[in-house]
Amino acid sequence: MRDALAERLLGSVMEWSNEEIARQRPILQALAALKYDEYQQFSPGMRFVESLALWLNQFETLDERKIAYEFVLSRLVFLSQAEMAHFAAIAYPDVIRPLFINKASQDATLPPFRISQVLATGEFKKLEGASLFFGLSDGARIDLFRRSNIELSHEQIFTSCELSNEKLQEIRIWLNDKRQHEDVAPTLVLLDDFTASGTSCLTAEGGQAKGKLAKFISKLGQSTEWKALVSFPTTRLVVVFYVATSKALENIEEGAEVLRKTYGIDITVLCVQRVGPDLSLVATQVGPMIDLVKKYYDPAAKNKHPEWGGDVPFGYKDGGLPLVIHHNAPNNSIFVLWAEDSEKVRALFPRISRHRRES
Amino acid sequence: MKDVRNPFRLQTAESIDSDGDFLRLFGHGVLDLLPNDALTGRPLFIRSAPGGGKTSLLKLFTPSVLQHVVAMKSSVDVKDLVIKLKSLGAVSDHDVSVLSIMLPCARTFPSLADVGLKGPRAKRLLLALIDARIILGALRGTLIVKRLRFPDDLHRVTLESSPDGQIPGLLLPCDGRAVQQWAETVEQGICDIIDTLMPADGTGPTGHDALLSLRLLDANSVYFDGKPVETRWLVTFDDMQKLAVAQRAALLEAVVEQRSRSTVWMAERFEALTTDELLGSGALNGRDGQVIALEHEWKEKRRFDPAVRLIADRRARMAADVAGANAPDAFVPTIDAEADLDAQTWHEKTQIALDVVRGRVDSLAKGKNQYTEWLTVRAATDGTLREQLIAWRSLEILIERHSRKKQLSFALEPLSRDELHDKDGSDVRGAADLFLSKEFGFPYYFGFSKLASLASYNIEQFIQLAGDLFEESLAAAVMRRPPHLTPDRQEKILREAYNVRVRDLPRRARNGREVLRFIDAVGQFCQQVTHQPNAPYSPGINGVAISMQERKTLIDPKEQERNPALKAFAELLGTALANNFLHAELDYKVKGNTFMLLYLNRLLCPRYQLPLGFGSFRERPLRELMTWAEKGFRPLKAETLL
Repeated sequence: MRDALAERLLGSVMEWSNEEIARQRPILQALAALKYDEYQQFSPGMRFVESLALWLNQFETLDERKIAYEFVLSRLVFLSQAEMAHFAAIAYPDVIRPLFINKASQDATLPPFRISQVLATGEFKKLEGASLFFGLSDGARIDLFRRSNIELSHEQIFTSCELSNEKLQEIRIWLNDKRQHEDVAPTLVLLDDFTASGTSCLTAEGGQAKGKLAKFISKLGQSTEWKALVSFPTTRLVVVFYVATSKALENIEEGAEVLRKTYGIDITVLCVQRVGPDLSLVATQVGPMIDLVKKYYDPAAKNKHPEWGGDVPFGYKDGGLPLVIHHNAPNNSIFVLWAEDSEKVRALFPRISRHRRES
Repeated sequence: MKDVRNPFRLQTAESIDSDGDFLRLFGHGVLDLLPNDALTGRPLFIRSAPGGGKTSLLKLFTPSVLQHVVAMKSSVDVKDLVIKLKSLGAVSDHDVSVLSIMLPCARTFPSLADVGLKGPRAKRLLLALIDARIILGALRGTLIVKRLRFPDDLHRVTLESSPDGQIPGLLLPCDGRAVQQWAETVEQGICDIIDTLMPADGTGPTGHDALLSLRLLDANSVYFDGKPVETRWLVTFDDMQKLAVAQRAALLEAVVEQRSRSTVWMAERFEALTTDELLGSGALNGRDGQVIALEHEWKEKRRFDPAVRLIADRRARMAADVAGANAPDAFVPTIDAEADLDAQTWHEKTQIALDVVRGRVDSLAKGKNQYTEWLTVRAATDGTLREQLIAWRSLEILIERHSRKKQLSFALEPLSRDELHDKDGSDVRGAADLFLSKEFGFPYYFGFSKLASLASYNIEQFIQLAGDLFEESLAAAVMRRPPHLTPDRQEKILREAYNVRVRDLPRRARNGREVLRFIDAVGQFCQQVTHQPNAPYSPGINGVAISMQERKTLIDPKEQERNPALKAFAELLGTALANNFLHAELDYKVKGNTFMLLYLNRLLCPRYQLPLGFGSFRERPLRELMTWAEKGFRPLKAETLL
């Protein structure tokens, strides 16, 4: 019943004829059922069509509403729970394992295309059996990653890299006893779900590596337990994102270059699904949606979010993404989509931030 | 119940999850097409174009659905259905009287054909696989009607031995679990043959040389808790067009030769038939079986309209049950309520058209004494504005006709009003109606009756078209606007449906492009013949015909070998018939000759502004039709039209 009310509101807001409603309803209901209704930050009882109707209603003119509606239908990218789970499931077979095969073929001096032979080598078995996998955040869906890859042991996969010393010692014992591997881990794989700018993960600033990863590397060097497991450059560091923008990968690569030079780390940065640069909206572009993004922005919202570093009509670090993830809209997307803490602009997919200004 | 926005989009039996929903949506009119001995007589071959309703018909007779019917027998939704099923002997007041085993032919059989085994071996394996599925299906059906679980309760079913019913590899008597094991072994053995990359001759099960399962069923060998299962058995094969040619022939031969007491139904699309069969009567030797071509039966028995009316109203009711006030609860009123060109909204347009037509008639009749009486009669015509318009347009047609006749005498006496009355029949008025719509843009294809005609006796086509219309009614209802569609809106939606239907034909059929070219040519020809000022074939034509003699030439293998173009054209016609773009009627007698008629699918008629009735066609020589197929239609000179 509520769906019908939402559709009625939408039809009124868009001033649709019966013909237009008949054309749009199946599309909207399919989108909602397939993906958009699963957005986890809708308020209780709210669903996509209702949110869309209320969102479109804020635009002053019918033309603006049509532009915004067309944008949602044709440019919005929504990463559903099923899709993110799929990325987690294929990260090892499609992205990491080929890396192992390549490395093992080099070590065993075999052509890389002789897959069966390479898989049978001790070099590959060592790589697959003794490498360690860590999640960098909840979004890494380590549970799914673990269940999808039965060739990896549960003892080599960890939800977080914040482990106690006791646990690190256990890992060492396991490597020795169960894998007959007394050397350091051949590969340290770090998994995360999404990066849009890359700055929080790893970046280069003034010739220094900054970010979560840089801190982690620094910590490794100061811990005896970690040093028993991981030693650069013997241990190769592989960072895998399920979804990453090209810009983020470039930024992280700059930080990675600093790590290579400073610590001699053999570091590889990969992603399962790349988000190309042509997807983003850019402030210097000309177009009706660009105008809409600029017009429907609330400067007061940044007062509650100093971490934004200023105005963000095109999202944090001008990401300009038209992208929403099922559990939360990233703030690198255009503001009008997620409009956090704004009295003036209504969000289509409201965002809940991790970073809240302490009152 | 699954939340379905538009129940008309639930188009196939396979997409409807629950038996309850299936029965709510099922239109029982199709049962009127079955012979009275459908469950006790010869094998039945149920044929139609895609979407004819074959699978729904077979599904109705499955044990769980029939059980549901019996359980719901006092519900108004199935009351009429129960009566019909009782008359066929499928159910009684308290029980299911026939146990059906439904075998979809799309599963495994086509893959078996791909293995490339030699003929006799392939046949034996095919029959063995069918036997395994029939026997297991019989046990499953038995448990379902006893309200037990399969396979948990298989131990309560046994297969007893009989003199005729021995099965290789299965030691009778045995219980259901042993049968299941045997059936699984047969399936696995055949799947291994399909999966292996090595030559498969000589490996796997030995196979069967007949349908041994039917012998067991005939011998009442299925027992439950130690007692024979007293029932009539029905074995149905669905989607037989999925079988390879040799498989289909082998199965047909096995069924026909065996003359089992258990009834066998075989459902297939027309595409399963050879070109000869498609262009032929499709009749079988009476003892071998009976053919039910669904579209043909609908037409002959004139049951299509009420049947689809019921289907449509049920689907609308389902939408209303789900959406409440946000959906109309009946379908027919949404398209018939405003189906009146006499309404006030049309007055202005009608008056303009009337003025134009009257002006033309006056010009035609000017200075011609023979029409004065007719004009006087017409000027005195009462009736609504629309009725007057049609009357004047009819008069224009009649004057055109008369003026083209060679003068038989110099007497130019006024033609009498009785002559006008005799000539001004419903066919002329039908032509007038059609011509007015073309000339002045009045809608013609609207209302339930025309919608049913546009479905061309195909259930799926009806549901698709009705679904398109209902979608807009639903949209209006959501907005709390009146859910009735205006005639012009209906016509626009139905015209768009044509594009959707034909667009993917080149993808679906091997010679799809050639078929499209040919039916376009037929459409253009019919349009040119129909829309002549004197409407010589009023209300118009929507088909062509070739003589039965030329049809014989067309399907003659020797002639086809001599003339490959003939073979290609025969195949093209076969594709068009199989996909329901053309509808054939054989042995149609006219003026001492017999013809094969080829009617356009009614959905094609709006494109060429053609009437929707049957019985209107023009004969063309076969060579001309073949030229159309090759080069498209070339408009005829005026003198050759008559």
